[in-house]
Amino acid sequence: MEFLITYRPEVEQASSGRMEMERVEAVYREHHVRLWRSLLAYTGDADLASEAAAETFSQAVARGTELRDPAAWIWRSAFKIAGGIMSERRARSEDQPIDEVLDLVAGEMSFSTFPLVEFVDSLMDLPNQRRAVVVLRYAGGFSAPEIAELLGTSANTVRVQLHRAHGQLRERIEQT
Amino acid sequence: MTLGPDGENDIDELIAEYFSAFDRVTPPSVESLRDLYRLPTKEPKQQVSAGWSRAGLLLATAAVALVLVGLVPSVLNLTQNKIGPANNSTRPGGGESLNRSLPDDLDSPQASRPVVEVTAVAAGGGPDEPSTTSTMSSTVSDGAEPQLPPPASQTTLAPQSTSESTSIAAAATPTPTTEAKLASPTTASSGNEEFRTSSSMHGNTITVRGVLAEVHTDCVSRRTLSTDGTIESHPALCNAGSWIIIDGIVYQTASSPDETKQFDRHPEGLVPGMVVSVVARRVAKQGTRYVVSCADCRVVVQSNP
Repeated sequence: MEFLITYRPEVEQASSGRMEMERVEAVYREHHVRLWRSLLAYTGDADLASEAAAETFSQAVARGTELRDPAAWIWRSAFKIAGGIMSERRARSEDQPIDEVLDLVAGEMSFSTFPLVEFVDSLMDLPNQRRAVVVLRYAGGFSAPEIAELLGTSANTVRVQLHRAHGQLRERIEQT
Repeated sequence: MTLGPDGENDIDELIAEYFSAFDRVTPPSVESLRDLYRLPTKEPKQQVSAGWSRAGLLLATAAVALVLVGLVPSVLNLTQNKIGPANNSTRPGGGESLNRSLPDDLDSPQASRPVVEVTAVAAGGGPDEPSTTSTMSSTVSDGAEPQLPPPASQTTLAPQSTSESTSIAAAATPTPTTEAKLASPTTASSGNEEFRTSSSMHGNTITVRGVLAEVHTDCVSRRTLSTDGTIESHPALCNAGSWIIIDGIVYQTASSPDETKQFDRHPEGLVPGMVVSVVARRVAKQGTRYVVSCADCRVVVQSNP
């Protein structure tokens, strides 16, 4: 007996769903820790960073084949989600204290003249977009064009924002 | 603390040093997405009811075929079964149709189920023998689509969209679809095209009028948070300043100073083939197509050939 198997396009889409899951999984393995640290620096809150990262990967898994570049989408979305949560907290007039995790790290570091906690506090004073640029540059390790792609702006705008952030942080540090 | 005269490099190095501190902090120990969302590592076993015994051979072979293509069948529909007496006990020439659905898959929309057709051809059948060709259409569930338990703070998850979706779902709906079908040539011929730049209240803008071909969005969908037992909608933010106007409707993001527009609203209800007028700041021409975009959403307008 001979069997002829005919596949319909829906089948191909279904089998590609597993491949997409693996693709998101690969992004998770490669980027999750770096993304989480970046979100931690962006928000100053480890729980919020975890929540935003989990939410982002959850949505990435759900979207599957719709994502052309899962890694870029995940980075971009994670910052938006984290920013959204922070905005919501601000709307509720909730405090956004520097997370105790950062306090712990600061205690172990030897930044004698400008404690890490104050540095993070300075980061929090930056406008959201500017802070996102700084975090993506230093914690994410992205170049200006890559950051521009993630944030949907131009590389020159990123450079300007980075320069202004430098000035703001420099001023804060020199005041110490 | 005073930085040196080469301030830009100094601050760059200093910031990098501060950020190195974050390398000491590690996220909660989760090795993989499966750990994070407690996804099943093994696929559920195939369930076959006892009523399938007469077509056991075919089913077993079909199951092997399905396993080979990496799918997990949950619903099997035997639509045609014409097997001659030389092969098994089925009535000669008596076409038999069985439609059986496993109960755990009744809620799944039929359109989303992939279909595998397995055609069995018996060799050596004589001209007088009944038809020995049996076609079985098995509708199976998407084994790659996990049933994700939501994270603690999330009560809804967006499931995979089907290939037949034609609209952008509102961010609050559980099935955000991000891509619409290509416009068919027949619908594309009904439109006209207009392309102009202008200045308006939105600054320098570009207006494109033509037949809608595609709608895309990479926006983060609206989230639903549960806080203290209260379910509330929480809009995730688009990039600041994102907007696009389609047929006079402004799709704007939370950055709007107008409180009534402080939610993310993405293009929805747009069907390829519609003649639309799109206004935005960015447009890219690709042949006869114009890709009009804001930061996260974009639509493709097909000009009239």
